[in-house]
Parts: sequence; C-alpha cells; structure tokens
Amino acid sequence: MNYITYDGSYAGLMTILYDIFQYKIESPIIQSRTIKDVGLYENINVITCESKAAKTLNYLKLFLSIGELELIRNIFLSEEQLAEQLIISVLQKTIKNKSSILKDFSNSNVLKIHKINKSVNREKHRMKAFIRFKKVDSDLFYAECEPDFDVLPLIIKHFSRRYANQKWIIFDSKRKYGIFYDLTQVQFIQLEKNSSNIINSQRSGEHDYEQLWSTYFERTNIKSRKNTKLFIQHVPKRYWKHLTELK
Amino acid sequence: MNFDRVKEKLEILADAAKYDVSCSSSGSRRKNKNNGLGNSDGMGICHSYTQDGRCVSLLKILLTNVCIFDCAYCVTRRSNDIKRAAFSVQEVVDLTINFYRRNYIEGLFLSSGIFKSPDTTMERLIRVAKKLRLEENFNGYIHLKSIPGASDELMHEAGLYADRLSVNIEIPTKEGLKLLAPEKNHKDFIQPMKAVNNAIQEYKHEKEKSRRIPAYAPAGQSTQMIIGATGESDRDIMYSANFFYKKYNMKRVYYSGYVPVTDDDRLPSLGTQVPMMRENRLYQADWLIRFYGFEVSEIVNENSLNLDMDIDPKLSWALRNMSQFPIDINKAPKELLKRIPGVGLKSVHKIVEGRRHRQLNWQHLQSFGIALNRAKYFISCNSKIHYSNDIDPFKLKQNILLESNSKYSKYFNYQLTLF
Ligand code: SF4
Repeated sequence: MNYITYDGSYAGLMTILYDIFQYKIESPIIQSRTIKDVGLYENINVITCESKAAKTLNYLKLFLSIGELELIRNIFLSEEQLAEQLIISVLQKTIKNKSSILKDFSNSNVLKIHKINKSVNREKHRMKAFIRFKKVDSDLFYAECEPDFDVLPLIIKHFSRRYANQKWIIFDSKRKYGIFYDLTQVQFIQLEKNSSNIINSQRSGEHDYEQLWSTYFERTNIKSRKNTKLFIQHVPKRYWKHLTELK
Repeated sequence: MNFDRVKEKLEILADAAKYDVSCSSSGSRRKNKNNGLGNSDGMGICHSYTQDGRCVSLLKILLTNVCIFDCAYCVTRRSNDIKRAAFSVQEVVDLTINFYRRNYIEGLFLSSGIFKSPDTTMERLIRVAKKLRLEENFNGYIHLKSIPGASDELMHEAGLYADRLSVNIEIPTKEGLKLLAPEKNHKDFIQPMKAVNNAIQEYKHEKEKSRRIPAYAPAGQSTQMIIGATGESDRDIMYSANFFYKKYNMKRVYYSGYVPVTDDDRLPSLGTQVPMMRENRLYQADWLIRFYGFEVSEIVNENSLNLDMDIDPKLSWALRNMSQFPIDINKAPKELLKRIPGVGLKSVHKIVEGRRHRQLNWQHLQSFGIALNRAKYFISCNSKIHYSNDIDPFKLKQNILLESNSKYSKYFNYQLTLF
C-alpha cells in the first residue's frame, strides 16, 4: 500500500497526480491534511511543486472543460474526508482514457463527486446570499461568516464585481482567514486578535440601518401564510447568528 | 435621513407591498460599469426568507399607499381605513443604496398606489429608477410596477432604467375584474403591456443592427394573478396565463393565493384559508408548459377544469394518457423522457448522458434521484422486472398515493378514509 502525505494545498494535490504518473505509483492512498502521523506504514511525502502542478492542470485541460476543472476544485474545497481520494481516482481514470469520465453518471465515484459538488455549490450560493456587511470605520464594509465548506475562494469574483466601489472584508471565523478588497484587488488576510477592535468600531448610524432592515424583514411577512418548516429549510439555524434580520 | 420617520414609512409601505409575489431578480445581466455599485448576474439571489418561506431578494415597497381607486381585493383601496404614507424619491434611493451595500438585497421592486393620476404616479416611479442609474451609478436590479393607464411614452421611458416591468392583471377573467375593480378597464392593464412589449421587440431588432443599443427592460415583463378571489377555474387561469405568455412574451406569470385583506361581500370572508396547495399546483402546471413541452390543453380542458389537488399535474396527465407508456429509458428521445412522472429535467440529463456508457437499470435510475415510487409504473429499462402499467388508472393512483409520503398528505386525510 502506498500512503502519500502532502501539505494539503491544491497545488500539492496536483503535484501528487504528477508524481503518481511519473513514478507509476499503484493504488495510492492520500492522507488527508488532518491526519499528521500514520506511523505504522511507510509513506511517501510529496512536496508541493508549483511547476509540476501547473503542468498537471494544463494537461488536464486537454480532457476537461473549465466547468469540470472547477468542479474538481470544488470537491477539494469541500474538505470531505475522501475528497482527495475521489479526485485522484477519477482524474487517473480520465487521463488513462484520455477523455473525461465526469459525465458517466453510472459510475459511483462520479455520482459521489456530483453530490459533493452540489453541496459545495449550495454553500457558495448561500454565502453570496447570507453575507451581511456592516460599515465600520474608514469606510470599510466588514462581514463575518462560518461556511460549512471552505468556499471563500469561490466567492471572490462575485463580491469584487458587485462591490467594486467599496472596500470590504469577508472573514471566515471558522478557518481564521479572510478576503480583503481594497478597491483594486482582493487578497487573503489573517486577522490578529487586536484588529478585532477596528472591526468593532462600528460607525454611528450603522445600527439604524440594521434596524431598518429588520423592520422591513418583519413587515414583509404574511402571517396567514406561515410555514416554519419551509423557512428553516431555506435558512438553517446555524446561519442565523450572522444574519442581521434574525439575530 | 430622519431614521424614525423613514422607519415608520417603511413599516407602512413594506406592509402594503408584500402581497405582490413577484420578487425574483433573475433574468437580467447588467455589468458593473465605471466602477459603480452592483451588478445582476442573471441568477437571482434570495438574501433571506420570510417566515412563510418566500424569498426576500428585493426591497419591495410602495412609493405611497395613497390611492384614488377602490379595487376590492387591495389593502390600499381608497375606502380602507388605514394609515397612509409616502416616500420621497430621495428616501427610496437612499434605502436601496444602503441596503444594497450591506448585501441585504439584489435591488429594488417599486410599486405604488395611484395618487392624482396614472401618469403622475408612473412619472414619479421612473424618477427613482433614473436617479439610481444616472446619479448613483447603480447597476443592481430594478423592477418597476407599471401603473395601469399610464401613457405609452412613460412606459417607454420606464424600460430604459428598469430591468423588469410588470402590470398585475390580478383578476384572471374579465368578468371578475368588472366585479371587483369596476373603475378599472381591462384595456388599462393591456395597454402598458403592449407598449412595453413593442418597445422590447423594437430594441431587439435594433440590437441586431448595432451592438451599442442600450439595454431595454432586459429581464422582460411579468404579471400576477390572484387565485381564489373570484370563482374562476384553473382552466380559466391557465388559459389567461398562456395568453400573456404568447401574446406579450411574458417572462413569468405569478399566481398568488388570495389573502383576505378586507371585508367585502364580493370576496371570501376574512379568515378564509389562503389556497396554498392550489397555488402550488398552478406553478407546477406552469413549469410543465414552460420547460417540459406540454400544451395547456393537455393539462386543463373541458374534461379537467381544475388541477388535481392530491397528485401533481404531470402524474395526472400520465394517468389520463396511459397508452403513451411505458417509455423505454434506454431508447426514448429526450422529449418523451420529460413526460415521465417523477422524472425532472436534471434526471433527464443524467439518463441521456448515462445511457451513452451503458444500458441503464433500476439501480442507476434510483441513484439519479428519480422518484421511482411514481416513475416505475411508466417506464421500462434494462431489467427483467417490470411494473405493470395496465392497472386501471384509478387503482394506480391509489397505489401511488399510498406509497408516497406526500409532504402535503396532511391536507388529504379524507382520501384515506374513502378506501
Ligand atoms: S389601483 Fe392599485 S393600489 Fe389602487 S386600489 Fe386598485 S389595486 Fe390597489
């Protein structure tokens, strides 16, 4: 059995794929980034190499559409236990066949991949919907979230296009990193503890807008049509604490 | 902005606008120009949901709930004794921009009671949209309600700034309209639709010649019908809807179960249940026509005036047309696959792609997420087991009902006591 460990980055995973073919490694088992020490088994540690990763991705482009490449990336960001394994297995097969197998819905791995992709996409969509900005000092709009999957990289384009003329930060407090748009570009950021007071320094008047929004939310409801089950299905409780209108 | 005053107005004017169900913000692509604020990317985003599970995507308000008319089904009607209020143009602009910047909304849905005259009202609505686009460089979604009776010129101007325009026909039949809104004329609703549709077609035509023609009401028109306020049948409703789809290229027709808002002899009394199930069935039937290739007459006709409440309209159609089945999953063209009860468009796609690799059997179909409890009687696949489809349709329906754990079953307990 070949156990492969790596640094948990996407480039790392693509490097693994490169090495598997280079060194003809049979049925490898990829160690998810959370398992640090396998001890008993001999394992291969693959060191991330940007150029190998780029080559792999370029090669994959011969067989996979942009959408399919995005799908693979989504699976990776799902942080699912078996994500790496699934990705490697379908990509191996794709390269062997020299054509995509991602539309073969009668293959159980492919179905699994589409299922995970659906969840990731849903979370991505939910973050587009449920992000709530607060205006803080220095004209910055700040939002905090805790998505189920690591979807911040997937929403950069959406928010930077939409809010091109305001500075904003979206911070993932579960994974402790954020994305920051400074009116020209987006970068990944880490926030130190003491920067939280910048964030807390809410602008005067900010509370008024939150109140107006809550008022609107309340007033737009039609009591005689109440359907709590449907409501919770749309807005699961775990999201409530970040939603201005439900706090 | 005086927050307390605006809050009070918002309470009144959001409350009065909530019965309009067209909240969707999809179908418009508007890029963020010149580093402005906002865009529309074609797919609407629901930013929140009301307690009844309806999507909140737009700031939906009335400019004013002052109205010179007295339509029986409307809270805002002249004779209703309620608090009246009016937003200024600037207040609506400020609310929209500030809500948008905080990612609360996709844009604005602005409607209004008719104060003074239809044209004065329409002109004021347009002023809001114009200010948002030209002064605030706002590229988010704007839906303006067209005011029945507004002039063609104003309707034309509205389309220059709005993504979508709608005139709510409200009552599906002319007779019903005469009864409940005697001061209004069927023509007052149709004329603005006509004007907008003509302009849309014109711009489309121009666009073919030159790419630099500006967008004109890119998300098209929609309308709404109130369901269950007058005694209309589902056939009346669907045929009216079809007329608007065909004749004025409506993007959407919305169906809104009547919520009793005033006491009026001509209407269901206060406290009458909102016909939610019927509304749901109408949306299902509407989908069958828009996306599944069905003709209206296949769904409702002289023999089926109303949609079945206990089963969905596709299953209902299938039971009336047993001779068309079973459909062979591995051979049938896409158009036929779409007609199988329990098989949605996504499953059709999976079948078509999947059968290229191998003959599909029950297990495959199950893994595609097809509702086999309904579908199995209507298909054959690569398997020896076949579910007989020559059971009498009535019995078949009972089988399916017993097997399916319908989320609405609680509404149909009487069904079970019958057998
Ligand atoms: S004209 Fe419009 S706002 Fe006025 S009463 Fe009739 S439906 Fe209501």
